[in-house]
Amino acid sequence: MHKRSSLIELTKGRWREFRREPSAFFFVIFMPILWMVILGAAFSGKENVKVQVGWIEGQTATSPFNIDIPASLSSNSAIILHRGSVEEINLKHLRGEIAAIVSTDPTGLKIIYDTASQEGTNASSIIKSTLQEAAGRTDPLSITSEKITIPGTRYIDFLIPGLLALSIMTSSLFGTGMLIVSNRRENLLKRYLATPMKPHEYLISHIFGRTFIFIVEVAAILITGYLMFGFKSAGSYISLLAFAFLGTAAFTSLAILCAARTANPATMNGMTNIISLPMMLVAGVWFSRANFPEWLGQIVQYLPLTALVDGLRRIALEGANLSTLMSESVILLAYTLLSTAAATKLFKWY
Amino acid sequence: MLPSISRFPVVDAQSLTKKFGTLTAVDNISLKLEPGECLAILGPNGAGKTTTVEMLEGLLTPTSGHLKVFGMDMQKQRSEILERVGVLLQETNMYKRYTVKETLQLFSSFYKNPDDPLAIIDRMNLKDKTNVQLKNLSGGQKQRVYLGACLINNPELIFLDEPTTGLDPQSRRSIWDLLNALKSHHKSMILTTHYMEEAEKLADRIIIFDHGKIIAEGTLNHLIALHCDGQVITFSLATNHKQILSDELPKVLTSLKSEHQVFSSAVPIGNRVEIVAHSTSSMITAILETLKKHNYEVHELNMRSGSLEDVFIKLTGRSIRDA
Repeated sequence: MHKRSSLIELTKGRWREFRREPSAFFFVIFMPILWMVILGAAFSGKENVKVQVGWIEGQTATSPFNIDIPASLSSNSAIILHRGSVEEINLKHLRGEIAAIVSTDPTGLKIIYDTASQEGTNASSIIKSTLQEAAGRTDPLSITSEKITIPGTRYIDFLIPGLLALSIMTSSLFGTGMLIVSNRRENLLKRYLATPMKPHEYLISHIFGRTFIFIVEVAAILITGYLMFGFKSAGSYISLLAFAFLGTAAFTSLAILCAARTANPATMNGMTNIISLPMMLVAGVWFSRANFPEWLGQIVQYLPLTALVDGLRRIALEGANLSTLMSESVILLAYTLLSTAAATKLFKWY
Repeated sequence: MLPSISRFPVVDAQSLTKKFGTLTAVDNISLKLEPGECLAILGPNGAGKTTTVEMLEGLLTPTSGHLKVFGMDMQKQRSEILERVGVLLQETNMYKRYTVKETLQLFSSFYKNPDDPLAIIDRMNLKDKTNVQLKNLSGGQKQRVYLGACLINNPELIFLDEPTTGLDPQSRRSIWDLLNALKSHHKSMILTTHYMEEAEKLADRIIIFDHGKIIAEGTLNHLIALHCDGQVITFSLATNHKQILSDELPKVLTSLKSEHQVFSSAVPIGNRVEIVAHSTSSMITAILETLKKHNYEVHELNMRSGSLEDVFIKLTGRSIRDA
């Protein structure tokens, strides 16, 4: 009889479990697409972003420069003016519906906004120049702005590699971890231990099995990105896939390590959340890390998600290939090897 | 069959002890399994049956003691031993979305010389379920798939941990038929069970465990002759009041014991008392007299010959169903 390889059979099994589990399929394929569609539409749909400004009724509207302040603000198409009582305007500000409030007093004008917020700062500068111009300021320089339309430089182009990384992380961590925990709960790991199967083959099968799943996942995101937003990778797709594989291996090994001794799905869920949620926020999936304080940036660059996001972005946006991504590759490989080694030591079969 | 098998006992365990922290689950037990023999291990829950079997299967490392299987050392030659061993564990669930065939193919890939999965499916009477996913099978059918996985490497030694627990009577009988077929192929087997009928039907030899120790060992007839020689008389009192029963029954028994030296053992089980008696008629007279003296009416009085269950009750003080 033809002898089957246990590693191949175990790996085939991983894919089979995925394909036949409708919810796994849904989360892996459709969640990232949904994110991309929603965020892509939210950020690239608008022609011009407008600022919301509050004006409290009953203030002296003309003081002190004899211009009608609310009328001047309304005349700028970039401003949407909200008029109302002090209470109404303050409430709107509290709810985040308006970014800045304009107030007058005998000495002059005041713009009230949160100086730490991007929106407030933006609103304040638009208000200032609108009112200065209305009061008669003439600018010595003429500056016009132009919308960015070249593929590869839009927000969606920045977002898609980030979503790829995020989706690889969540599906590897949650999928693999839960599978191992349920195998342990159902005594299947113990059953495997009673066969001559080599234990490391079971662990490696999770990494290889994930590879098939992530190819489907990556393809779904790239194809949707291309069809909806004309997204194209500047670097080769082979490099993109190869680097994504390094990420899959790193997160699957981390998941195996977390699941090495856990028999309780809730504990497993907690552990994967503790790992993934902070990384999701700090690794620069949604926005550039350029604004982070330096000490945070120092730590963050060694996180696996950061390495994966940066690498994928450099391939997709800058056309880098695997050989120019040494440090990111080394970080991901290190996570893979260290986690697998630790998991092999710690792994409990029941 | 390999000549090496007949030279050694298939399993030779010497002074096995397993401690979990301060708890001694298995306390210095020794046992041997001869080729082609079926050994049943009985005992109340927590008696150390499963821990013992898991040491023999190579799943647990004994705290102390020596274990040889097929004449090989379990510590040093584990994977060689496991090539020739089949196990059916308790409460295992395999991947519910695998088909029967895929499950057996997966297990066949773990061994050097596996049987053809399709032939095993045929032997387990699952041919019409070959491409059905496990989630769509009944408990009995699933257990036959697991038994198939246990036999995929054509093992010489088979461990069956409660193979029919939780199955309906018909499925149980179909598993027993399959196991009997294995016996006729001279497979060596170690079986743990909660069902006396199962041990009586399948086992050549029986070991009874309690508190981590072997408390009795022998063939079915040997155990009955030794521990339950005579008739078993069961009676219950015509009251349902539990307090009266638990207070009064021991008094009745003490009184029986001091006045009539005619029984070898008496054990209260729920609201009944089981007595093994050598002289039946005088025993019945004695029971009725004693009850009358204590002003109790007898509710039920039965008499039958001893069984494995009676041996178990006598030795562990518990009914196997309560245990």
